[in-house]
Order: sequence, then C-alpha cells, then structure tokens
Amino acid sequence: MLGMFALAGGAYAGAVFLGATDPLTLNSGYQPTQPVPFSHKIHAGELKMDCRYCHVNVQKGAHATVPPTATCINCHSPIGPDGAPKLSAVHPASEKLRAVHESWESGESVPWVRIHKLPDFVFFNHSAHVNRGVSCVSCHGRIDTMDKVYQAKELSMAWCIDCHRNPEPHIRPVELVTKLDWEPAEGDGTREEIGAKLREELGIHPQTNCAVCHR
Amino acid sequence: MQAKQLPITSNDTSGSMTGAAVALSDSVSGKKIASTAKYWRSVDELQQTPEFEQFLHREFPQAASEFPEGVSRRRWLKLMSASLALGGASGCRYGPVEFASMVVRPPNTVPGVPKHYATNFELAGRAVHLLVSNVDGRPIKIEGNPEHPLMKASEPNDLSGGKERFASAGTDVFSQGCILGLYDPDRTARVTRVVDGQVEEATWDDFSAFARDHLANLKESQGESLAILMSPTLSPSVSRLVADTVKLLPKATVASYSSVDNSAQLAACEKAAGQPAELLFDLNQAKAICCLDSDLLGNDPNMVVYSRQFSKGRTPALGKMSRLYAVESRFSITGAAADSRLAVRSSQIGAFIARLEQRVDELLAGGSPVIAAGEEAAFDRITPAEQLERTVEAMAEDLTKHKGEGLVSVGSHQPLDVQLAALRLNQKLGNIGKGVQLRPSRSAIEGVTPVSLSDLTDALVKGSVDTLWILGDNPVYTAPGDLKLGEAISQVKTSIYLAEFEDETAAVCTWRVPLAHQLESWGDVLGADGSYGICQPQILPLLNGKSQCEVLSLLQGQAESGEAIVKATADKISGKPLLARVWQESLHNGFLADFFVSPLTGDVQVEGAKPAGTLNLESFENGSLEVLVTISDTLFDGRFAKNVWMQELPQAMTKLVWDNAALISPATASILKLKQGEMVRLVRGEQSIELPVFIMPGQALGSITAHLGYGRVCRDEAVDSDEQVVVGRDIAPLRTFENLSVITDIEARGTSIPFKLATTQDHFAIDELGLEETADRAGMLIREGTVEQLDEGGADYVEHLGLHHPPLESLWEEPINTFEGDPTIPYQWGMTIDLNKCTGCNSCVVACQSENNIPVVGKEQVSRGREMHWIRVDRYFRGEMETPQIVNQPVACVHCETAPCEQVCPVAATVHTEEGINAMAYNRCVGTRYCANNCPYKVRRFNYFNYGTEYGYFYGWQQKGKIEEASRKLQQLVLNPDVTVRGRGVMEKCTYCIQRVQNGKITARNSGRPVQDGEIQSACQTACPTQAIVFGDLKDPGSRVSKLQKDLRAYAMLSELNIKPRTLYLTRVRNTHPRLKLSQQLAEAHHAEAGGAHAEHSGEHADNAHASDTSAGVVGHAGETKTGETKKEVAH
Repeated sequence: MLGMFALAGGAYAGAVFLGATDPLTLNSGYQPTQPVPFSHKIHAGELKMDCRYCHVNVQKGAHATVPPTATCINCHSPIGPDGAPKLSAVHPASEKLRAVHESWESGESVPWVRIHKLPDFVFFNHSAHVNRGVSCVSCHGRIDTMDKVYQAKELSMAWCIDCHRNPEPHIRPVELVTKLDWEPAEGDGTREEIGAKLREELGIHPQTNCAVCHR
Repeated sequence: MQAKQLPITSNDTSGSMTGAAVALSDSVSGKKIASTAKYWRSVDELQQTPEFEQFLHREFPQAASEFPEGVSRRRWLKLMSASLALGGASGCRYGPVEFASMVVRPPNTVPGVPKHYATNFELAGRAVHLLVSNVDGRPIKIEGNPEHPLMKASEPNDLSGGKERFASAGTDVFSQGCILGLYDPDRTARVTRVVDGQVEEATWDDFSAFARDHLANLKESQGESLAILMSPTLSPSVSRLVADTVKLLPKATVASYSSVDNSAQLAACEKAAGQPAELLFDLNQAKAICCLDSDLLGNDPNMVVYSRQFSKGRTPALGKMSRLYAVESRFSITGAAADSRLAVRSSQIGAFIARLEQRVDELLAGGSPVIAAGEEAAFDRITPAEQLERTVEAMAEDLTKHKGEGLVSVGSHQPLDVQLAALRLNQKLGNIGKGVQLRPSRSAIEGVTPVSLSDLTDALVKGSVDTLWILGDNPVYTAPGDLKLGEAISQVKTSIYLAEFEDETAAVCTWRVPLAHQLESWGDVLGADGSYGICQPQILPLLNGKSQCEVLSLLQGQAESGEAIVKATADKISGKPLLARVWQESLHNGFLADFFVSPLTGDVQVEGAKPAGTLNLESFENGSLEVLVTISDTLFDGRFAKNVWMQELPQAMTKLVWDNAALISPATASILKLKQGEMVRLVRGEQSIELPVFIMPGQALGSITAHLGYGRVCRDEAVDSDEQVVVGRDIAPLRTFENLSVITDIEARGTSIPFKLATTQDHFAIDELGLEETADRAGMLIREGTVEQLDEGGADYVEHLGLHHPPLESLWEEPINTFEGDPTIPYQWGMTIDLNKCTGCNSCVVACQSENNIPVVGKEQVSRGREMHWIRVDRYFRGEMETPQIVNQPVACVHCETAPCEQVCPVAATVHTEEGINAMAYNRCVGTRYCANNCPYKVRRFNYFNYGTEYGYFYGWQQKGKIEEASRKLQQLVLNPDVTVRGRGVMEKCTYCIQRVQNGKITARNSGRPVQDGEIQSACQTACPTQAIVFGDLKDPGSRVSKLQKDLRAYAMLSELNIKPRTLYLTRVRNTHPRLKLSQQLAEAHHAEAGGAHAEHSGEHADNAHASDTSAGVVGHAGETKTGETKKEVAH
C-alpha cells in the first residue's frame, strides 16, 4: 500500500516536473512590461508600417536589431526649448513617450526588455531565414495584432527542427515575408504547394545537424 | 612493411656523443636506450621514465578529477551548496534581459557583424601589418593584412592558376596575443606622481600643467639636464617628435636601448653602406640559405615575411626546393626547419664563418669541391670534427654553385667582425642587392646621435641629469644587471615614465603616465620594405591611456591629438599634404600607396679582420661554459609576462609552459652531472643565477640557453588567493652591458634541489606501448623523406614511408558516402597541413585560443595534462641524442569520416554534419569522456572546472581574489561572441571553426552565390605565416585543398584504422646535401631504391595495398590520379 503511494507520488512529481519544464509551459506567453508601451498593433497593424522600418538589419545580419532611439524620434520628436518639436510632431508631449525622450536627451539607451531569447549556446541568424522566404510570423506570431508583445511560439529545439524537416508551410515569396496576414490567393494553391515550388526554385535544403545552431 | 630501421650495432656506433648519451641514460633512469628509436618526443620518452609512462597509460594522469591544489574540501562543499541554493532560487526560466539599444546607430553598422580594419604598429620591435575584426566596437581578433605589399610579394601558396582568390597573410604569436593585452585590467589606468616619497594620484590635467612648467625650465638651459631613454623606434611620428624635441632643446641627451642586442649588426651595416643602414633578406629566390646562429624563421623581427618567402621555396610539386643550413648553439625554429643542422657554440660562430670564408675563397679561386670517395659513413656516425669538415664543405659548395642565389645570415647578437665577415661572404658570392639587401635604417632619427644605455647610466650616477623621460618598454627590467639602472634612475629628480604596467621601471620613477595600447592609439610604422603604414585606433582608450606620440607632444607643450600628429608625419613622408581621399585610402588599405623605399646601392665596404678563435665541438670545461641569452618565444623580453595566453603557450622547441629553464644538451648535462628537473646554479665571477635544468637534445656541447622575460609577477594564482605569482627566473644578474647575449666563462654547479617544470611534450601521446612500437608507429604519424626519394618514388612515394596494410573496407555503407553524392549538400570541408612548410612557430595555437574562447588553466593544471588548446604542435626528434632533427606536426581534430568518438558517445553529443564536420554539441555533453578515450589522435579536451568563470587565469571573472569584479568583466570583452563559452564537465575540441563556416555560408547565400575558395578560412589558417594549413571545400575539384589532397605527398595520419580523416598531412621533404645525410635518411633511400622488390617480399599484400592510404579523406574523386609532378629545379 505504502509502495503504491510512493509510486503514485513519484509519478505525480514526474508529471509536474515534465509539465513545468516543457518549453510550451516555460517560454510561450512571456509578456514583460516594456519601459514604453509601444503598440505593434497600432504601428504594424493599423498604420501598416513595414517591420523593416525599425528592424532594419533583419536581412543583413544575425540580429533583427531593436531600433535605436533615433528611429522613434523620426516621428516622435520631443518639444524643444522653443516650444516646438524639431522633426515631426506625433504626440510630442505624450507621457507614454517619456522614456524615449529621456533617452534622446541623455544619450542613454531605452531599457527595452528582451522577449524572444534563445540560450547562449544557440546561434540563430535572421538573415538566413528571412532571405529564404521564412516570414516573421512563423516564429513571432501575429505581432501586428499584439498591443503588448508576448512570445507566441515555444522556440524550443524540437519546434525549430520541425520546420527544418518540413519547411514548405513556412516558405513564401521573399518580398512577402513582412506581410504577416498573407494568405495565398485563390488559384495559387496551398501554402505547402507554394512553399514546395519556391523551395525547388531557390534550392532550400535546411540541415538538422547540431552544428547548424550550436557552435 | 614499415621502412625498417637498420639496426645500429655497436661497431658502427662511434664517437663520444653516443657514449655520453648512454651514460646519461644510466645516470637518470638506469634504462638502456632502445637502439631502434627513430622518432621520439622527449628525453623522458626515449628513456621511458615513469613520468612518461604515466602519461602514456593514463590519458589524464593521476586522479584526473581531483580539485586543483589550493581548493580545499571545505571550499568544494561551499561551492556545491552554493550552486544548489542558486538552483532552487532562480527557478526554471531565465530572468528578464535588457537590450541596450543605441540612441543613434552609426552608419554602416550591423550589430553582431564584424568589421575589419587595417592597422600597422610596432610590436616587440617588429612592424606588424594587421586586420583587426571589430564586433560592435570591440576588437576581438587579429589577422594579417594580405593586401599589404610586403605580404602580396611573398604569397607562398600560389596554386591559383591565375584565378583571383582570397589570400591570407599570417602573423606572429605576439600579434595574435596582443588582443588579450588590450583587455588586461592590470594595465596602468591612472596618472600618478611621487611627492615626498609618497605616491599620489593625479590627472592628465595635472600632468599637462606640470609639463608646461617643466618645458619652460628646460628651455632655459637648452635641455642640458634632460635625457630621453627610448627603444629604437620604427615609428616616423615618434622619431619626428624626438627630433623636434632635440631641435627645441639642443643640449638634451637621447639614449637608445634595445633589449634584443643588434648593435653590432647595425654597426656593420652602417660601416658597409656608409650611412645608417639595416639588413633585409629576400628568401623568395634563394636556393642556398645559411643561417649561422640566426633564427630568421623564429626570433627575427621579420619572421612573418621570411617564413612566407621560405615557404614559397619549399613546394616540391612546383619544383621549388631551397636548401637551408643551420649552424647554431640552441635548437631554434630555423634549426628545426633546416635540411642540415650543426650544433656549434655561439661564441665559436666567428671561427666557423672564418673557416667557411676560407673554403669559399678557395672554391671561388677555382678549387674543386671534395667529392665523396665511395660510400661514406652517415653524418651522425662520424666524429664532430668530421661533421664540421663536411658541413663547411657542403655549405661552401652550395653557396658557390648558387652565386647570387644564396645568402649567409648571422645572428644579430654576433660581434662586429662576424657581422662583417658575413657581409663580405655575401659580397664575394654576389648576393648583395639580391638575396641580401642593405636598406636605409628605419630607426635612425634625424639630427640625433643616440648614446648607449651604459653612457646614460654613468650620467645618471654622476648627477648630470635632472630630468629623464622614459618612453616605455620597462628598461629597468630588461637592462643588464651590472648597470644597476633602477638605482640610477631613482636618484634622478624628475623621471617621467610612459607605463604600460605598474612595473619595475614605474616603481623608480616620479611620474607614471598610462600608455595606451596599440589598438587604442594613433601611430604609424615603417614596414621592413620601407612602406609607410598608419596605426588607427580600434577603440577609444579603455584605461585612460595616451599614445607615445601624444605624450611626447604634451611634453613639448603642443598637446596635439594623435591623429593630427600622424597626419603631419604622413604629409612629411609623402612630401606634400595628403588629400583627404588619399588619407582615407591609406587607412583603409593599411599602407600609403605608391610609396617605396629602394635598397641602398653603391659600394659596400666590408673590409675587416677575419674573426679569430678556435672551433672545438668535442669538449669543454666547466668554467668556460657559455650561456646564450635569447628572447622567449612567448614572452619576448618580458613585456608579455602578464599575458596568460603567452604564458601557457608551449615554447616552440621545449614545449615548456609557465617557466624558463637552462637548456642543456644531454652530453653536457651528463658531464656536468646535471639532471632534468633539478636546479643548476650558473656562476660568473660574483654573479650567479639559479635555473631549473631542461635537457634539450641538439644544444651545442658546452652551451646553455636561457630565455629572457621571466622572473616577473604574472597574476594572482588560484582561487581565493591574494598571492602574486612570479613566473620563472630573471637572468639579468648574469648579463652585462658588454655581454648582453653571449655570456662566456660560466661555471655550472648542480644543486640537486628539485624543481617541477610543466611541459606539454608528452601529453596526449598517441602511441601505444613501448618505444619500439613508437618507433614503428611514429612513421605513420609523421612521414618524412628526402627530395631524392620523392623524385624516385613517384606516385608510390608516400606509401613507402607509411605502414602497409591490406585494403580497408567498411562492413556497411558509410552515411558519409550518401552525403558526398547528394547534390543538395554543396560542400564537403577538409584541410591539409603541409609539414614541409610548417615551422612550428605556434601562431596557430594562439589564433585558435583567441577565436574559440579557449581558457587558460595555469601551470598546476597543465602539469596534470589538462591544457585546453584545441591545436597542439607535436615536436618529434629523430635520430641520435646529439644530432637530432626536429619535425613539427600541428594536430587538431582531423574530423574522421567514421569518427571513433561519435560511436562511443552515449548521448550523441558529438555527431557528424552532412558536410563532413565532426560537430560538438556542448549543451548535450554529459562529460563521460568516452570520446576522448576513443580518439586515436588525442585531440579532445575536457573542462574539469568552470575555467571560464570561477577557476582559471583570465576569464575567471567570478573568482575571488585581488582583482575587482568590474575589472574581471573587462577581461571578458576579449571573448568571441560567435563561440559558446563552455562550462564545467563538457568536452570540447577543434570544430574547423564552425562559426566561420556557417557565417561564410550564410553571407554567400544571402548574396546568391556559392562560397568561393578561400572565402572561409579557419583561424589557424589565417594565422599561419607559411600557409602550411589550408582549409576548404573538397567537393570543388579546383579548390586549393582539393589540389593539395591529391598531391603525391598527401597522407592520412593513422590511415590503417580506416577512420578516414578529413585533415591530410603533406610529408616533410628534406633537401639534405648527400654528404650530410643521417643514417635514417640513407636507410630510407636504400629502402626506396629496393621499392621494386618490395611488393614481392611482402607478398601477402595485394598490389593495391597502398590505395586506401591517401584516398582516405579525398571525397568524390576516387580513381583520379595524383598530380604534382616533381620537376628538377632543386638545389643539389
């Protein structure tokens, strides 16, 4: 009887441990509060700004890069000593933009909180994916509908490998990678069919060996 | 079968040397030397001492998992409980991480993508031309600048066939290591002054205010009481500022002191050319190269250029094969590369050159060379006197045969008459203006005649100097002991020192101002060919330093910026104000275009007396020993003593780390009754020093070599310790101003005080048991032959050198075969290492350490066999104790296609990629170490501790100790962000620089093209000054690596195991003069001649028994014949 309890207890502890350490539980849904309540829903969704207006290096390097303060200031320039904003005046006096304006004046970084983080032994390269037609939405979800960004996918190794083994559903024409709400037009076939065709054309052969990501 | 060594029987073993060696072995271990020894790595191995056997039987000797000394059980418990507590507290998800985004991002920057900037500076007396990789504003890796004209002209591996390819330039070890110095928190960070015997902190403003008053005072007396002490400089800006100072203060004294003594060589050049001049050799076309105590490929300031040029002349496939002679007292890098070597005391080099000159004169006057009468005894079977006779004869013959295509070089420390004799020989042979060039001195300063350090010290003692400026380089430490420079300086009223560290010189000066690192400062340098290169800062000064130029400008009351100073010099050099465009181009390219300095032409005055002295290679007396003081391969003159990469870098020939020693030949040690690992006292008059004995075969009889640069504080030792560690012993007390390098009349007294030296030479021994087995097997590891064998052997050449075995077949289909045929896998990576080009200079080892974040473990851990270097340079001796040859073999992971390590890993942490790289997934490794046990090459390294954080020397930023945590974090900045920092309990090894491969592939792919040959180069390859290492794609038949793998010298190490390594070696080929061949060389030649009969007497082997040997590792080209026909253009 006691043995059975111990067994049941062990099984329960195991289940809790496995459940608690599953990447789906651990990582997805992480939604920290940012110093500036920047809404991707307004900028990328309603205003239809391209992702690359801010994340300029996504096609050039490993990091998509968080924009420098100067990018924000292009539109949200603070009010100068003469009472007028220097560049363009979108909410120049908004309290929500205080951290941005402080950064602009002091030269200190805006302390953005990182949401999507891979372990230190994983080396992910944005340019290798985006230039092959893998859209932002595949890993980040519908950012253009998020007021406050959260991690939508688990970003675990199994999840990465799923796509490396079967990339077709995630490949679209390269010029459409930042169009997060893209759906194949009628008559063009399914995502898989379009993906398979592009894969053939571009010679996309993702590898699944350790050294692809672990260096 | 294996080329069997002719047994050396007692009747042909003659001469006192062998007797001495046997006597030594009796005295040390009582064991007999196995007479079949063909290759051996150390005296320990040859004699099979218990220490060696321990390393052989147990890959990691004795209690490999023990904590290092200094970590108590209590501390271990503390560590364990702390990590448990941390594990509980921190939960499962990582905490919040902040981005530090820029406020304004500079144009053309992509965070995380390295930029490469050209720069040139003077480092350890060498002009270096570099490309620095800069990631997010932080320099992290040094490479050579292949665009520099000096490097372009000496491109060694020109297999391109006219196709444009990515080149590499190579560097020396100091350039590779200097990046670590940049992030050294021990560097001077504050301006300090001494007031009333107390050290006070000051600021740069205080210093400039002081400098203004100071200058006003000096001007009144026209600088009569001012002296400037500097090293000879190659920087035109520094020269210009010193010249300006002397113009401003005409009565000032300038003293010049170089810790590496080359005054006699400069004096000889000046006498010969009639103006301040220096020597530059051109090894590009040289057919006969004679180095007399001269280490052109090692210690020489131009070693990178010379190594490249030398390597160019060592390509048998292109029919180029020079002949290199080395006559020297210590075993130098040049000596190891030489075709023939003779050990002669440094103090007898003069007598040697006199004899050579006499013989050359005779031959030039129409004498005929001595022709061997019938079969002669091998070179190692004759007496030293006969060896000397034959060497002189062969050298004279080759030099006169190749008039105008040879060169004679003598060590810069040799006296004036020897220097003149060498110039005279070169002139008689028509080499001047060709292989030997006299060039205008780069370090001469206009209007300044420097005085010697000895004169300066006299002036300081007399009190005629009130003010002393010391422009860096720690002269108090490097000065000879008899000058007592420190005491003299401490008597001076005002002494200003440009301090890199708070060192011995800083301790006696009244003002210490922090000197900026070369990577932080503006500057310039004149290259060996006179080209002008600018040093541009890679980062703003981290520790508040200023460059030499800026401080000199401050002292002149100008306070100009470094950039303005250098620009003014550049304008002056080019004779007109530089256009902004030209200036930008010069910065970008790393040199000023269309600016050349021609060699001096005109009459050369080389008259002088013949060097006197006797030649005695057979005996010596205790009391008349000589000590050759030479710079350390790793620490130079001590200026890299705080650089732990350099401290842990095995010295080129001894493989010693963290120490210097008295290098003594086996026979000398036996006669003096000295034993390895005991202290010896070296006495000269009233002065004496103690050094541990290190028995080094190949040292000249009666000559002891000692390295400069030791006896200094390095860093705090281990965990939780405030102790400062003095590494090695200072040899300054023995040096005098008159005898800086060659110190004679030394008496050696054994002390029988034990001393533990750490050497890596027996670590990771591949061999099985027993020396006899070693002798048989070493031939499989390193293969070596002569030019004649290569000519005669043809396509079978390499197999004759190796082990013969039946054809090797796998029982099942290897997965790699499928990958090789798969068109969706575009690349198959591979490497070749040319043993004929490798000089063993160690650049690859430091480059790998820098690129791959390899930790430093310290002497105590190294002596347990735990060094972490991913690439090691194995040094094999060959032949007899007193006349050995050395072969160097760099060994890193060879990426076997059927890798034994992969088959035993229980967690699949090491697996193959489709492209043939044996990958290591650190996060999966559980540390069973099975893989290391199963690796036949012994290239895997295990992290016994968190060397990266809590234990270890440089990156240990979490460890407690003297250095504050913030400073420790400064050290971390040297880490390459593209490579994982490994933790405790994880195995690691060479990855073929997988980060470079992956990034190179992504870059090429993003621009829609395949990776080009040479676009991806491993770190060891870019650092190699001889281009011995070539990495590339084996699937491309036109790539350099594919061509080299099909060279008839290519072989796979341990090919009989059928593990198909992707790294192939190219055999060493010696072009030894027929009369100087050692018995092994003769025996092998004999074997090769009998090659026809070979197949018959090993009848059990099929005819194609050789086939698998070299085709292993060559992918996709089975059946293609080998290329690389040998043409006869060889110096015979």
